[in-house]
Amino acid sequence: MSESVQQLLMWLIPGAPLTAAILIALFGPKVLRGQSHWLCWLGIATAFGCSLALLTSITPEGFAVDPSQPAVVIGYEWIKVGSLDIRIDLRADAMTSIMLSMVTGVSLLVAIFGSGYMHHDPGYPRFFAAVSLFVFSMCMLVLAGSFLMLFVFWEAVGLCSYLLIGFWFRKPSAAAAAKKAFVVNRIGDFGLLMAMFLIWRTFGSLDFDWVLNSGSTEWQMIIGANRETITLICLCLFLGAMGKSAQFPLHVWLPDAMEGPTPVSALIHAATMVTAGVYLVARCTPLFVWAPTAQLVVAGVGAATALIAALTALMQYDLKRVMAYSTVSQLGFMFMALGAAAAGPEYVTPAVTAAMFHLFTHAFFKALLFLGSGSVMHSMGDVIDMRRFSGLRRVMPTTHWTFLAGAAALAGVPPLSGFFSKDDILASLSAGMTHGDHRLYFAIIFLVAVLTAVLTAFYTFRAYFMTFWGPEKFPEEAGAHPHEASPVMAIPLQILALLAISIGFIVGPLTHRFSSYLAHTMGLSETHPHLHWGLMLLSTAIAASGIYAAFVMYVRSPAKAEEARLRSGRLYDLSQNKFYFDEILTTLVVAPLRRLAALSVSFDRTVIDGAVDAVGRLPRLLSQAPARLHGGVVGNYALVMLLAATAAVVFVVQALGRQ
Amino acid sequence: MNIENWIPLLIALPALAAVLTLLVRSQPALVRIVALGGGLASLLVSLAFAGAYYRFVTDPAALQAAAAATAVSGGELRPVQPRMELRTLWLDLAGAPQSEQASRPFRLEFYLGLDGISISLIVLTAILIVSSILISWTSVTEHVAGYHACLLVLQAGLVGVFCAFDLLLFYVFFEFTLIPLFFLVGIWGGPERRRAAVKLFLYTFAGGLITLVGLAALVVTVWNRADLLNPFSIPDLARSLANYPLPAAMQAALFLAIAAGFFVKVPLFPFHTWLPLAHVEAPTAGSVLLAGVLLKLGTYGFLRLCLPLFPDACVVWGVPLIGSLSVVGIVYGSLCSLAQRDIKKLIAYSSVAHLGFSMLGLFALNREGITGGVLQMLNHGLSTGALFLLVGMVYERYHTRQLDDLGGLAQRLPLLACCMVFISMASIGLPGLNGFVGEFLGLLGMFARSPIYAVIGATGVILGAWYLLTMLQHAFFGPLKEPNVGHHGVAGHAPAAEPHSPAHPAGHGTAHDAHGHGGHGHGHAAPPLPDNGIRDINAREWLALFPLAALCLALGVYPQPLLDTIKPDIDAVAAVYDHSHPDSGASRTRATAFRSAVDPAR
Repeated sequence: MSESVQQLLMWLIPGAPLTAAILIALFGPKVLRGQSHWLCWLGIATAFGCSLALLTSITPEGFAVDPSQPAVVIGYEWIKVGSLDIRIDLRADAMTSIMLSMVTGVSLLVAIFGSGYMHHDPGYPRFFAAVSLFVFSMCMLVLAGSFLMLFVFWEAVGLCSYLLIGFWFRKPSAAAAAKKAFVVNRIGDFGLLMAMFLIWRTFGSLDFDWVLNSGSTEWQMIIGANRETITLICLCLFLGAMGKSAQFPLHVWLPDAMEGPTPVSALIHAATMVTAGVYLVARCTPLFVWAPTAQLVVAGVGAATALIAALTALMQYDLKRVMAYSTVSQLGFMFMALGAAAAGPEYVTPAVTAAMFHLFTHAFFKALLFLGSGSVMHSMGDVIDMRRFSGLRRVMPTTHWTFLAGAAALAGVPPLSGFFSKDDILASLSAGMTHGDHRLYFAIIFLVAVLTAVLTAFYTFRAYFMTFWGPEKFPEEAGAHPHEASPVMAIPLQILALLAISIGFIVGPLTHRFSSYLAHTMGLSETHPHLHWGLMLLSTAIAASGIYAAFVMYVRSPAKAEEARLRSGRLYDLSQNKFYFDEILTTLVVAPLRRLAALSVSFDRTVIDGAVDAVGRLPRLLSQAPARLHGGVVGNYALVMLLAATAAVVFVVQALGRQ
Repeated sequence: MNIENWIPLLIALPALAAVLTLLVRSQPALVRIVALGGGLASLLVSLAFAGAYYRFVTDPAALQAAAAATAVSGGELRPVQPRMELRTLWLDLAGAPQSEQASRPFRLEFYLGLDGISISLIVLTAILIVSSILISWTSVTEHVAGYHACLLVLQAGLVGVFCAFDLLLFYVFFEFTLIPLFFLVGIWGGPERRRAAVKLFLYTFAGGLITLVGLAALVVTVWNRADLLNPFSIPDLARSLANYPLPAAMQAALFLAIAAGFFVKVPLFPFHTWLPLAHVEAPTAGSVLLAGVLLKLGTYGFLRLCLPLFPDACVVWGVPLIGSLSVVGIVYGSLCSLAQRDIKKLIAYSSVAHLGFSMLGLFALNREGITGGVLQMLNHGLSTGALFLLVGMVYERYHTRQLDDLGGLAQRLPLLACCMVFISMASIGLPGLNGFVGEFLGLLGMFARSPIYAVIGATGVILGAWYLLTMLQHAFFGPLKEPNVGHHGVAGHAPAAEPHSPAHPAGHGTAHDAHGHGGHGHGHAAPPLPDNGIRDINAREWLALFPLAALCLALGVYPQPLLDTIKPDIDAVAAVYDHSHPDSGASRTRATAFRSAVDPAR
């Protein structure tokens, strides 16, 4: 493909959704109204087509010429001050093109689903404008060629998330959730900002092609001289990733983000935006390999998050919240894999590939599960509490089989997509267990991963059985005739289901397509991973046991579920109440800060302003003393005159005497 | 025709318009039109100057000539150098008999000039004046002519400060701006306007007097320097003092004295308490100009006088002192904002935090930081100016600014709410809008100078998001809550306020049944609002707001033209500090070398 065509393609990928967003924002409310989705579809479809073309144009054959050379499109000078030179350029390599295809593909399906789901909503144009803006921002995020540009769009996707979580702004809970998401994300952004400052001071640049290019000797000298700084940089970068990818303890915003419309939850809070943190850490692999401490932190935080979120998901009754915690947990899996790169240089590429592959498959099956939940919610009249409906599999056959496909993929049933990617992650963790300096550490993490995988299979199928099995029961909000999703909603579900089922063995470890393509990314190398039959058996057993437990408890003998619930007592309460993290954060962070704020205000009024006013009164006080001298008593005047005259005479006499 | 000769027009035009408004004072409608005309004319003239200036600095030939001039001067530092200047002898006492002490004639120049920083601030002032006149169109009904005259005189004074390159002229304009502002707050302000006006005046004037003492001491100190043509000329002073610095103790004393007035003006913690009071009591236009331009006189003073004149004191005293006061101001100002229930007071305290970012940038004493500081000055003017406009619009409609009285206004005023979200995001420092560039550069520069201040300062980005989004959440989102506006709106709608908006999912089931299959309202479609006479943004308000919003976006997406405009001036002042950087091994060697050299004045 000629270079100019490729440049045009790359501009169109973010450009088309941006144009759609602007046009919908300008003309949506007055002109387009209910037809706003067409522009959004057109914009995203264009971007999707161009992404696929880019994916094929940056083929491994192209890489053969110069493996580390990304495709770059020159934009314009954004900030050029002193030694800082930031340009708005587009930069695409293998990792970027995979992310682009995934993002635009899922976005397109979600936008199609959304036009059915959001039908008749008064904010219809606003919804599509924000979704288009999000797709633009997300594409720019992965096309960024420097840390600062990544940060710009990192914040921009955060803005879109804010706007879409708060989409139904009349609901106080939605308004609060939107604010919470933005502010918690800002804590992560603080880390990213610090990382950028450190990188700029250490490397003198923010460009990926310089900071992440391990080829040059100068780079290696910088790394060698600044090992502690590199660790600090990586930890700061990971703080940023923790905010965006909802890792413990910054995960609290994501479950609340479910206040947004369900297509948004599927797109932003499951498939794309929340994976930006994983993308960032994977992108910065060349730095992380020099900071094993940071990698251990990444793995540890990932493991803790995965376990805590899975435990929380066990006892949630809100279908969307189960999925939200599941997302948090799966992101934890990805970070575990990224951390497992600490096992040794030859395990870096498999570990990063495993994380990216799980990111890739997760996008499809989790978007599918969310859209399935949305379809259920749509049909049940916005009721999402699983205790209020059951046995939907006959009423909603399409939703049922697609949801089942997604659930099986998430649980890791072979040979669905989630099975392969989760297996890869377990493999890289087991590599950490058997190689490198931190075997015990990774052994613990491996166990946590296995336990989490069992829990994942259990809670996923608990949700599935509670929703689709059991006696047919509908809430009164659903009206007399709960209905199956309309075609505009059903078709995206079916496409996603097919992808969730098949993508694993089409591009996964069986064919090596994904890994050999991704290997052409800066910092990764070509490897030939092999299949891990033992681990595959283990994975299968994990999935089967979890699903079986859920089947026993929620289908065969629901009494057992009740019994287990009673027996677990405190543990059940903990899970049900999300381990009280919201309450803990409120008491430990929010409330003290608010008290400090109130204290500052009273301090300002009494102490600081009080001091100012006191100084202001000073002249009056000072003037009272001399005022007494001018009391009008002639005798006093005479006395002062006498004293002054005496002093003057003495002074003159002394002065004369000295001469 | 030389464009330099027209610089006084920038000051004279608003002053002239002020006189005109007083001449037609019997007809308020005409007064408004005259004032608007004057404001627009000033804006056009400033834009013409800005255009000419931009062509000048981006012209390679002119830059080469400037570089050649520097080469001729033998690598001398010229930290302050107006690119366009107009010098006229103003007061010449050369003919007077000279006493023994005065070795040089006492001459005063009327020295006006423009550089990139001043022209940017002049354009900002002109834009905000036009917005201020538009926003006061219906809200100010008493002493209309006096009000507009005050606004325009204030503009003349502000432009004067930015044009003045003579110490005395600078000081006169600097203090002169207080007079119209005093009247604006004291006559057209809120219930406690007198106390606020007196406090504003006395506090900043007291600070200014110390500055005056410092300036006088400075002039006396350098009076006999041979390389100084005119000891009152800022560029001459800057060149002389950068090349032959004063002794460190003298620098520190003069720095602190001259900075005193700027401390209060910026305002830096703990000299800020006049600001919230003045903002709450000032009329909308007063707040816009106070936050938008008046506060910048402080930062501008630091940039114009302290940075170039006292390099050693800035490194030794300025960085730790201003650095710590700024970060305390950022955190403390943000916390105070968080606890406010009055939107205007919330924004007033946020100014303390934002100006803290600006000061952090300036005292990074490197190109990145100073650029960030200057951008933050301009950006704060735009975004906070716009926030005050928006709060004024809300106040005009509901006669309250209390968060407890307001809620869900996005339903009643969707466009206003949209603008509020947009401007808040700019103020929070969302990348892609203007606030981010300045904040980022300032913090980046400070990180290179002294990381601890940048790290603490950067927590302000978290707190900033928190307090502004809390304000948005309470006032604009959630169920609609409006105070009773019976006296304002259409007769018969007196009880139109809705203290208890119906819970959102109510009646959902039936609504859903009505359209059976496929259709879905999600229960969030609120019933149509009863009309209470409150309208969304009108054309006039939109005109006042739009330029600010547009600039917020433009300067965020493509700040480079502005950066090009201010670059030569920032390079010039940053060059003084090139060797003082902690990263460069030769830290402070230059200053020491020059100090050991013979001072020609002694």
